[in-house]
Amino acid sequence: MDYVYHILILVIMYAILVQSLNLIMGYVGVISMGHAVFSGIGAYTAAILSIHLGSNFLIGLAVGFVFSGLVGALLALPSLRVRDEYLIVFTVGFQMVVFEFMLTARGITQGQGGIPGIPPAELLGISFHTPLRFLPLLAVMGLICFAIAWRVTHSPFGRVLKAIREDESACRALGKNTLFFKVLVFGLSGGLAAITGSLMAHYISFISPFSFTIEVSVFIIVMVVLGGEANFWGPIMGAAILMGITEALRFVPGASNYIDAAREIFYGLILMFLMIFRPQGILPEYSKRSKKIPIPKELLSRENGAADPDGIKRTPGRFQEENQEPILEIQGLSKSFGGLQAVAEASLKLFPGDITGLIGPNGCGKTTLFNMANGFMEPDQGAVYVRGKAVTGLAPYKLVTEGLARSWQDVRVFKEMTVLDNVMVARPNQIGENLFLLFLRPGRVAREERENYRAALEYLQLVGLLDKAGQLAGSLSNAEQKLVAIARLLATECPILFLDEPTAALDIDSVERVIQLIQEIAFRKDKTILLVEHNLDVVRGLVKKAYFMSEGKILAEGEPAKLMADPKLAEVYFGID
Amino acid sequence: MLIAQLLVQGLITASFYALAGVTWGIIYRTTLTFHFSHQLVFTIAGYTAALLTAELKLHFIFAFFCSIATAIALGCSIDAFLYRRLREMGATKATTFLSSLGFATAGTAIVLLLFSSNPRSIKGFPAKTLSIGDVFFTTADVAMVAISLISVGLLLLFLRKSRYGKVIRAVGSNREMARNLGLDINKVYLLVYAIGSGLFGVAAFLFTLKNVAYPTMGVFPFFMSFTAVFLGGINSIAGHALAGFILGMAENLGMIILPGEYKIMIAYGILFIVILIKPEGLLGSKRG
Repeated sequence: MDYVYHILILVIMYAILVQSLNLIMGYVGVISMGHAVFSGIGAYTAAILSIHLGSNFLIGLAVGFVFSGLVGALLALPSLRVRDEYLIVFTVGFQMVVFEFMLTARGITQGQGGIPGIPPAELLGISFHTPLRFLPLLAVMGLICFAIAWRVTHSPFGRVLKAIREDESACRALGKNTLFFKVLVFGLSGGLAAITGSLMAHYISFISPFSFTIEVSVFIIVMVVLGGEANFWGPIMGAAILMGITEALRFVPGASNYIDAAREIFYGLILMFLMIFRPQGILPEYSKRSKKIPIPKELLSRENGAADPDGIKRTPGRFQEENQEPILEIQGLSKSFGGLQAVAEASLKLFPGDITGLIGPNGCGKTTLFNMANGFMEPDQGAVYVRGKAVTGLAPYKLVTEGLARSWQDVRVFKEMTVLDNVMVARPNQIGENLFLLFLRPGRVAREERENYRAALEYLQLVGLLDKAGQLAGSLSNAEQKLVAIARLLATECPILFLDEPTAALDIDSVERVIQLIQEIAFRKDKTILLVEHNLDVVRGLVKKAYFMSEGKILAEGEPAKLMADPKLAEVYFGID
Repeated sequence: MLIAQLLVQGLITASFYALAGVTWGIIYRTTLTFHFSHQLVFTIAGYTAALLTAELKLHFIFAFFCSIATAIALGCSIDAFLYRRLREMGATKATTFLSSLGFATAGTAIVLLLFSSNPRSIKGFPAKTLSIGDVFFTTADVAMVAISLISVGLLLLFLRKSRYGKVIRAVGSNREMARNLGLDINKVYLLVYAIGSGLFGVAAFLFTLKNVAYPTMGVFPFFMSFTAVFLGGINSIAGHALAGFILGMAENLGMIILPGEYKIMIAYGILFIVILIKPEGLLGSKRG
């Protein structure tokens, strides 16, 4: 019977470890090649503390959790400046360095021979030294770890993690400091992995570096992928199946000599073929393509896109009142790439409640100007002011706090998230995005979540997508995705919105719909809009004042109709000789 | 004299890492595939040389070319049968990386199963120890330095001067433009895998000549090759060679202060610091 308990214990231990990796791989979409080492840190911490200091196993567990968590957070830090592939490099390096350390730092780790004689876990005078006794203890620890993972992934924090996975730049453009989230989740993941390690050290009473090799790290990766990335139950499935197979292989006659090699061949092939035939794993992230979202009655009874009771706040057609302060001012922004001057001394002003156009031929520097103003590119020269405050060179997520948000020409909705989540993630200042308040103030988080739910549905109602709230954004049509992106942008509550070609690649009806929507946004929701647009009909219909840009310079400003009537500008725009 | 000996050792390791760096670098720079199975290509090429000379008693120069051929065949097959399929499915980079990881894991285990963990060496090479003053090195070391540096030089020359070299660089810099020019991306990728794998085959032969072949022999050279790529800057093949060279020198000169077991820490430490200060790498450019 002990053997059965032993197998169960292994499955639970691996399930915790796999869940910790799932937090990174499944939810943030970043691969860690060194997860075995995190559990190793926990194991060595527990072993050393309990042997040398004779301390309670819970102390070792906690110290291991914190220590490994800090190491995990530190490891994620370089991702501040580089792309995700570097994390593969850093985690492989981390795995190899720590493994070498375990082998060679004999004074601390006792080298290759490992540490024997680790006392069993003991609590309130009960010693958990047999598999049967250890099992309940482990089950409780497992429940705690899974509860933490559940809380984190089913929260505003987890929603941001998924948004990072789907599109990190778009997530930053919604005001999220994505690095902060990555560092925190790496820390949490490292800490949870360490818990497995420290429990294992007490259970087996012996640890050596060879329990934490890169092969083990890969083994855990296969379990995550097999079970199903970003599925909460996937880790249990993955751990149970692979541990089951590993144990079953032991009963194949004559296999004992080949068991390690056979196991590796087996799970290597599983990994390779899964990626081709079922990359989502056994339990996919979403079992259905659409989720039922309860919608409040008064929203349903309102017609799609119809005015809410606040009514129209301002009348269209007002144009740049004299002696009004600009809400946003761009002064002499310049940028060159190599010898090419992409933007030269571009200046423009936006006044509250106006829709301003920015037009010009392809490659005239509109996008570069846009990116500089939004913090996605650092200008060589010049400044950006929001309500008179200099915001030049601030990170995109900070600009959102200052009230400036952008949309993307290529839409960039978070495809593998529901439409509702796409909008909810954009809500500003969510305390549920704070990992600590998530656990300390559950009531406040829940209340805030209800408000954001309501607000998100309001915006979806405005763009006419209320009935699609539960669908995955990636399953919507291109036009609908554009509307999701607009709802998402509005949900940031930023007063200044930069729209990058909102009607590009849309059919005529959808263009009409978007034009109407932009008008409504500006006049009813009191937004100031800078519109970059190719379609001159759209510009004429929406904009009272436009800036004309060519070869990096702003050539003219004024009413779009007048601008286009100017033969010189028309020549630049249409390339007529 | 210890310093002089370490400098010579450094030169040997540095040439080898420089070669290792460019082999993975040209693949990664052009295809942006985190080709983890590169290590398996190394192992198979090393075993080819050892088995042909020891078991079939073939001449080592013949075995050298067979190593290269095997490496090219394996590298190109991985691209043609695995990566191309994933590309056509629109798989993410992570998915491709994982499938490559799976293939490498299974392949290494198969080598272990077939040949056990006993080391195999190349037979018939006139191995001799030479010396200049108090500094000692072997004929295998001389071959390693000479052939590695010549290979790196030829590759850089090829990329700069030949038509195909320019095509490869164009694809690496701007995929869309290359496609618009009517280039067959799959063919360019295949060429790149052939070059990268073939040169890694050269490296594997040199490694086996100096050391022995064993199932996990590819792990460490592969680790150094991708470390060199990220250290040197993804876009610059010359940067990969330079970074590999620096890693090799640092590893040996580091022994003046640290025990030899710490070579991974040295490489990783250099990478960590450089990436924090200059994220685009030593010779990398900020754009693209």
